[in-house]
Amino acid sequence: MDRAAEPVVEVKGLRFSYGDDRLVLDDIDLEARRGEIVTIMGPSGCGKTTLLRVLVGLELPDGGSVRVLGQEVGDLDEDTADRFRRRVGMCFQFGALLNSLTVGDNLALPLREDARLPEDLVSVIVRSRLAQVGLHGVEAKLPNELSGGMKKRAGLARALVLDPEVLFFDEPTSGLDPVTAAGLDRTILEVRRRTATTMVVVTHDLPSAFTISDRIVVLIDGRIRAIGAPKEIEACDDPAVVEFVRRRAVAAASEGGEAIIARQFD
Amino acid sequence: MEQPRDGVVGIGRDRLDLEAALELDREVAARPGPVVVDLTRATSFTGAGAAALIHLLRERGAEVRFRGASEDLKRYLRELPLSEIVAADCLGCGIEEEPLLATAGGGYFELVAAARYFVALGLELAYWTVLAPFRGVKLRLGKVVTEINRIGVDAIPIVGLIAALMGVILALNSAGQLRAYGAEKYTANLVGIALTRELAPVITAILVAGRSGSAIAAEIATMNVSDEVDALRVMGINPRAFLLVPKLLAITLAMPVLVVLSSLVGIAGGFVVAVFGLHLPFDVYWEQTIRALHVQDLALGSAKALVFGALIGLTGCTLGMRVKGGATGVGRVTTTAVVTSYVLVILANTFFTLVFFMAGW
Repeated sequence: MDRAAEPVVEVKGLRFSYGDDRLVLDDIDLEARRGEIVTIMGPSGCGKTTLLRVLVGLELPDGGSVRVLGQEVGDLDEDTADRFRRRVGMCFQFGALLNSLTVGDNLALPLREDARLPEDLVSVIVRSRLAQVGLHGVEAKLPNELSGGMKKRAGLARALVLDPEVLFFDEPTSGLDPVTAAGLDRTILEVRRRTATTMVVVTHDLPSAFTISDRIVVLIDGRIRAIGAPKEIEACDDPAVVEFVRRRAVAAASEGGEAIIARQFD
Repeated sequence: MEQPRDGVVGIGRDRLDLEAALELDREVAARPGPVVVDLTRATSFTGAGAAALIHLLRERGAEVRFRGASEDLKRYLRELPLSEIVAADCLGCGIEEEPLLATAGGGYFELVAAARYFVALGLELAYWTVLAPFRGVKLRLGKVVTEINRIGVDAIPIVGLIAALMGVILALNSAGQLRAYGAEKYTANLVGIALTRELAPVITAILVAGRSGSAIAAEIATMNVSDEVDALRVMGINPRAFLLVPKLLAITLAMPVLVVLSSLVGIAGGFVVAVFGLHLPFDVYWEQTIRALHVQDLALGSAKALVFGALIGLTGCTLGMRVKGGATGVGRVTTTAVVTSYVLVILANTFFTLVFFMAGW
């Protein structure tokens, strides 16, 4: 198979629930090919973050198959899981930097796990990764001394530090002003251009999704409603997708509500 | 349909806000039967004002009609799931909603799950202390030393102070009782044995559980709720090996040292009171202490301390890793960690004392 067309992330018939009867994710099929940026988009509470947690193996699916880099994620034993995860990077919504360590030590952490790397090389890698995401002179700062946007950038730098083959993002631009968000989008595209890393991004930020994605997956109420290139999603006529994408107000009124107004308001 | 004039209630202000809505509510409540609410005067509205209208709809149903509502207000109401809100039950009283039995049932499953985690973690601790060094697995010694400093060295002043006071209290009480039999010199035996075998391990364990067991639970729980533990997992760093094992090792190693120290300080406290307060001869007290205490006593005390340390550490780690919810969850596991540690320590102590008693140690 052509290497570029090889699926790096491949999900088939995935189902997931948090122990109760309610399915959070139902019958999910999706794939991301090498070097592709796939965005999972949908309203809050639709199961996006859960899907991402299943993809990186932080949650185990109830059914279906999740293969990342050719590995069945649900079947990994602890040792294989640790090795597998070093080929995968994840950016958490709020950075998830270890608050007791400096930013520099946060980035150095996964590097120091590899005993072959001398400390001065670690320090060079850390500084260059921070510079790559536009952060300078923050190595000695504690995460709490950074702004929200800087934390996200530092989180991205930490995810990049091991040169992952796949990068997962949870809401990379949420809570950022439009200029910072656009800057982060550029950084993501820049990283992809240089490293051809496959990326799966979860977001509800429409401009960001349409800027960075090769393909967009629209997830509503735990089910995929549409998959396609940004243009195809814009042209999609599924009412739920249209409502979300065109940012219409949340579903007006059940018919009963309309009836109350017609009946009791002159 | 024409409404009788006396069934009309008009809004008294330009703005339908909560105040205005409450006034309307009172007036409508005072009129039984069909009522028309005239909103013509209201040129603007607030969310709470609109909500109060929905409340009227809930209360009076078809008896109430509205006239003169602005298009804006109607559009706002249309965009709400109005029929659902009208038909919905009250919210209940929030957090403490769960029925008692469901809570107890959920609690049972959580207890079983937590117990399994506790045992698995205990086995892992054994692996890291006994097997891992022989398999060339890197133990994070630097982190263990840092934790020993926090858990052990920093606790010395408080442990010493409490131990000294315990010695004083024991000496005063036992001397008071023994004096009646002219056996005051046995104060030394009582203080020595009671401290090394029972009191020093238990009191130190209680202090360490309060100081460090709670801190371990809170720290790990906080890291969990802020995704830090997941971040470690995703980086391929085993959070148990990275976070928990150093703390567990440190607390398990620090406890026996603290207990030996607290036994010695306690004996010194008793000694000071007996010699300077109760005027027992210095050499008699010293001789009695030496005669009563055996290395075995200190060893038994230390063995207990080792187990207590592991129990406190495992409790803190288990609860910290199993935290649910945000800040409330962190608070809850911290409290639970301390209380559970106390119970486990006392249970283990009872078990030890029983075994030692039956073995004649």
